Amino acid sequence: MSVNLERIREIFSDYSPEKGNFMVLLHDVQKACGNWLPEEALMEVSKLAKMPLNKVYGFVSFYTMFSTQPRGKHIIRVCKDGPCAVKGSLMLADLLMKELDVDMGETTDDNHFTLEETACIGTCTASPAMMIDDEVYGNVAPESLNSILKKYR
Amino acid sequence: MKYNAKILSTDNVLLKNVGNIDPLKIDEYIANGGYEALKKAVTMDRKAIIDSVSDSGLRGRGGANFPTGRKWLFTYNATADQKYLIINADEGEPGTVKDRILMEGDPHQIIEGMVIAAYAIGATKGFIYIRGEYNDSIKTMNAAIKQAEEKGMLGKNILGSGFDFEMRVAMGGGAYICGEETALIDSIEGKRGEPRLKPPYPPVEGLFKKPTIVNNVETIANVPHIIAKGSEWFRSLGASCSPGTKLFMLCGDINEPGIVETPIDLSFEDVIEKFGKGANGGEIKFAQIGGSSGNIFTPEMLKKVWTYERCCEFKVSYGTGSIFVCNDSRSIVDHLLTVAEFFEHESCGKCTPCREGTHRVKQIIEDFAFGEGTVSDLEILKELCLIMKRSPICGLGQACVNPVLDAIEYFKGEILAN
Ligand SMILES: Cc1cc2nc3c(=O)[nH]c(=O)nc-3n(C[C@H](O)[C@H](O)[C@H](O)COP(=O)(O)O)c2cc1C
Ligand code: SF4
Ligand code: FES
Repeated sequence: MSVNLERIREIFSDYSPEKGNFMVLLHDVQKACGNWLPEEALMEVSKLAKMPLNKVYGFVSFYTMFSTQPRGKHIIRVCKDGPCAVKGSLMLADLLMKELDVDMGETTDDNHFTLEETACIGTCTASPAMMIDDEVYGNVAPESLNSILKKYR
Repeated sequence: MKYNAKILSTDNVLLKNVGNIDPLKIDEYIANGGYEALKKAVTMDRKAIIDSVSDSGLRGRGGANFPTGRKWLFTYNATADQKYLIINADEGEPGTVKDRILMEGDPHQIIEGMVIAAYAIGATKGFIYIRGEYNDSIKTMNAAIKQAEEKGMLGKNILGSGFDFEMRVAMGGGAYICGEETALIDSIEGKRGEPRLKPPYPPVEGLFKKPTIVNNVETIANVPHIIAKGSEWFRSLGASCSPGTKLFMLCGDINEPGIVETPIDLSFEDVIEKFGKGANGGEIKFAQIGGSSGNIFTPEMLKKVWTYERCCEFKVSYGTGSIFVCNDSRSIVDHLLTVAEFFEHESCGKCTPCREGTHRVKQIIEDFAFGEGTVSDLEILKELCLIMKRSPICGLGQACVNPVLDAIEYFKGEILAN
């Protein structure tokens, strides 16, 4: 997928140039690039933000939500922390790996789903929990997995 | 509200509106007495607001329990051309959902608290730093900010007082360490979120080197109530040394998981029994209180009322207020491994004792999980943990060994039998 530099410039002009917006900008840039940050996009960001490329890269590599590797159209994040672990999130992760035929961190061959682990997503009173893109799912029962995935297929 | 946490009980202070009003309608908040405290505050002397918060005995709800009024005073007294107020909504402690429910259920309570705080300390700009995974919170807060601006509760000349305050949402990117206030500040500045060496402390030198107050969401949500009803009313709730109500979250092996608002005058066992309908799948073996870096409580300890004073005495903390119950079918080693993996991943890597230490701690626990740990491994683990308690530069490295040390104390036999 080629990077739409025009869109990146638009994102930068949408925000006031004031400090404090850099993370918000990068989230939007990542969305515009299809869930990851290709090098060309980072170079454009570096130019627009007047920040050296190595600083931009250092920033991006620090935060788990950003990726410099291609990812699928939909990102599935399964919580792996304590409250979810005791309520079956490991089994959930196993089921997802089987169903999608990928390992943790991998993307399906058709580039449709990327499966990731995540730290707690604040849904611990409804464990096990997972997110697909922006949507949170709590109390995920193994039986319900397929009907949830169907919405994104 | 899409959020799926059940409210098990409330004292109708912080959760008064949650589930009862439409969070996206400022008029419903106002009709329920909202923004009355702000109207009162802008007629008050700034110092009097801080005194009132100090007198109330309010302590920070982000984990460190620092007296809020005392913190505000540092920034109030600082001279600077710009001061900032930041609300910490990076909520990342496993087991913790309270800030989310406050943002998604009653966003104006937070905004009102922020404007009052900003007015008191003299900050004209503010941020609420929300973790990147909390999409609904981000959307709700953004919508609420817009409405508050339209109503004149935010922006220029708020309620005709001559006071200006502008606030925005800042986002996280999936890094637990950004909950630490100086890492959070660096993150807003567009940097990697690595904690700063202190001093200087943020109230004197924080965001863009200006005096900055960082408060937790739950802390700031208390402020409108204190201003509206007074510090004496606040003090009448709960134990004398930890007044007010607190949000507790029940999760893990519990019949009725959910969120509870109660003054701190109940034991955790009572909270578990009364609101969570007890443990399920067996008897309680232990509970971890306050998140991944929280202490491990035995059933015996859960019987006590953990006021702030008692916590100091026994050197434990109730942290964020999450109560993660594990029944007697759970393995302590498995639990420690989950916790150790979390910290190995979340250590920012800035200082060696934590970067290397979290890795080694995980390795040794892994050995026990695979049945290969020895008595001397356990001794090394304990020594390592004691070193880590002292040497890292921030609270992550220092506190992440708490559950390990507790487990070694209470469950040594089980760990060695593994
Ligand atoms: C590793 C680490 C993570 C933290 N995470 C949070 C957090 O997610 N939310 C929060 O409010 N405070 C968190 N804190 C505490 C903050 O540094 C700070 O003390 C707090 O936001 C102050 O607000 P308060 O006085 O209202 O509690 C964390 C501290 C450390 C050391
Ligand atoms: S203690 Fe750990 S998280 Fe804190 S600064 Fe050091 S390496 Fe980073
Ligand atoms: S532990 Fe899984 S959502 Fe919090």
